[in-house]
Amino acid sequence: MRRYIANRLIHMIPVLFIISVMIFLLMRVLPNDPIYSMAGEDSEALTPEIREAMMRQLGLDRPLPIQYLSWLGGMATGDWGRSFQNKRPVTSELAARLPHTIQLAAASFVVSLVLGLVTGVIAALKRNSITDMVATSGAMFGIAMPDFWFALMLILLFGVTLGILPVFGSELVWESPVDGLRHMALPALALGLNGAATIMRQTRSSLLEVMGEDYIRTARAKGLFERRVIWMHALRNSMLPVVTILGLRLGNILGGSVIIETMFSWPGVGRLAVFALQRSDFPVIQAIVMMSAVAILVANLLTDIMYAYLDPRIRYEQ
Amino acid sequence: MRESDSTTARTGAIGRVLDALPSDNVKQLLQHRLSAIGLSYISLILVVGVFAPWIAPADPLAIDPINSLKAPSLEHPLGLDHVGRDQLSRLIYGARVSLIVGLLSVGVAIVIGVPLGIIAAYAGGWVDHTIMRMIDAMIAVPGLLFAMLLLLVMGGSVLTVSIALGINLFTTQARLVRSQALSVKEREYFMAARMIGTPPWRMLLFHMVPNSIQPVIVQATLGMGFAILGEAGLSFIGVGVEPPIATWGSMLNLAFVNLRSAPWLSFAPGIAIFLLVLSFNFVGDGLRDVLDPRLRGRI
Repeated sequence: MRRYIANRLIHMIPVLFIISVMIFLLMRVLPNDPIYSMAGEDSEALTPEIREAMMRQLGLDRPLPIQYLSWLGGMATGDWGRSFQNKRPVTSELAARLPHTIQLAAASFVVSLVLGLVTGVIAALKRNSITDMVATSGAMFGIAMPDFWFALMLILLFGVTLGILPVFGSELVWESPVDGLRHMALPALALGLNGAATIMRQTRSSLLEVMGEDYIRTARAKGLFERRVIWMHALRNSMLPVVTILGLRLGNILGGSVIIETMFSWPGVGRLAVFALQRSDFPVIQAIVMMSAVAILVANLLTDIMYAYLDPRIRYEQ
Repeated sequence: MRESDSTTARTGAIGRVLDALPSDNVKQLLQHRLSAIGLSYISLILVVGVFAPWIAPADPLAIDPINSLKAPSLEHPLGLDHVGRDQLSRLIYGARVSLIVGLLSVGVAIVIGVPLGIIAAYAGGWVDHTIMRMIDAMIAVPGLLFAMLLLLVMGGSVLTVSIALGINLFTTQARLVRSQALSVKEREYFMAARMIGTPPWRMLLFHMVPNSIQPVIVQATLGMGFAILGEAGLSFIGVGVEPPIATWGSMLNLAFVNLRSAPWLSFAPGIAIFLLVLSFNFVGDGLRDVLDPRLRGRI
């Protein structure tokens, strides 16, 4: 297993290299000139001399390969550059926003997992009942629902019509728990619904399949309580496909919440990404993309390790 | 190699899941009826989109600022937006964008994904390795961010949005085709064809492609749903097809901006997207059951 993990980690290097080249080049062909974005409304006052001086200050006058290598070297040594927009180090910009994104992601993860598992298990156990039909069609709807439209409806209902939940900004839960949770309720629900629907469908079909296995019959035959059969034997064995979905969602924490964060003015990484993209803030975008890529790759690895843990028959070294 | 390892693991586990499902009669019946419903709805939207100029009660771009944000009435069943454009007409024209972007992006995904998957499987070795690493790289970049970036570079039109979304979609196609083609490579008929000296292009075109293409069809249908959602999302945050062209996503964006003064604007476009995606998912699920029951749940 250790060799497998090492192997996988080594495989990440060429993948990250390809991504770094791709994102670096894409940033340079953006039609939006970063210098003009920096100057904002005063961009008409930009003389060629000032522009050149700014290019030099940002290091954009150097040949592309040099720019790339110095950026790559910086990323590797922890110096991620400074935001073009406010000259703050990219690392501290991200550090300020990451907690908000992570708490939202964690909350939506909990929504997906709890809602998905509970409805999935109930639907499977009461297969073909009315409850099953309702849960199954609910999941189909949840998968087809655009998350931003669901968010829009939530805002309309709870924010505008009832006026009982905030629809703007975020508070850190560990600083002000009640306010933090209130702010998180709507965006977490909006982000979590789709995941809940996917997990529900997978849990249901997976559990139904496992319930038909010989070892379940054996467990029942030897007189185990039904509850024990379901929780200890069936559920654990049916979790394999569910883990895949969880892994995918875990990896997409940074990139998945872009629209929702923007809608709720959430001070997170997703909204920062949109902001930086519109202003051609190269260092910020590049750092966010690289960070998200690492998150996705690591989540994929964790998923495969979980497989081996959940199903000892899976062996990776052959 | 990573992919093959984890895929076999998944197939093993899920394969067992899938074998049990056909006994689940209620569900299957439901699904086939559902794909009929889905197909009817898609046809309806198709007709609406094609005949939009004849069906739409008004010009979707004609403004009437004096009556801006007016509530639904007999004359304007869905109301007017912030510059007084007829919301129903925009909804009808918006169907065009959703369907065309859906079709085009799935087309882009197939045109890039299928050849890559086939070449990777057929060539093997370092070619396979390089292609798969590139696909890994594409998967590891958050899709929406990448699409936004591409659109900022290319500008927002129906074509560029389709390309940006197609680039997001092709990785699944390529991986599906590759794994299918790898198994074709081990089949006897394929080896026999090679032994009698069939030229490589013939092997590829007449043996590998036709036998590897099946999962592409199912994935393409499901990809339509993804692309329609993606287009709506991109338009919603303002990097999709450029205004004033009516798209369901941009209509929702305007509805969001005017949520307090004109909440009714936010219903119809959302329902339209939702139903269309739902329909494509129904058809995709149905197709999957018909074409290959074992594939269920894998995609």
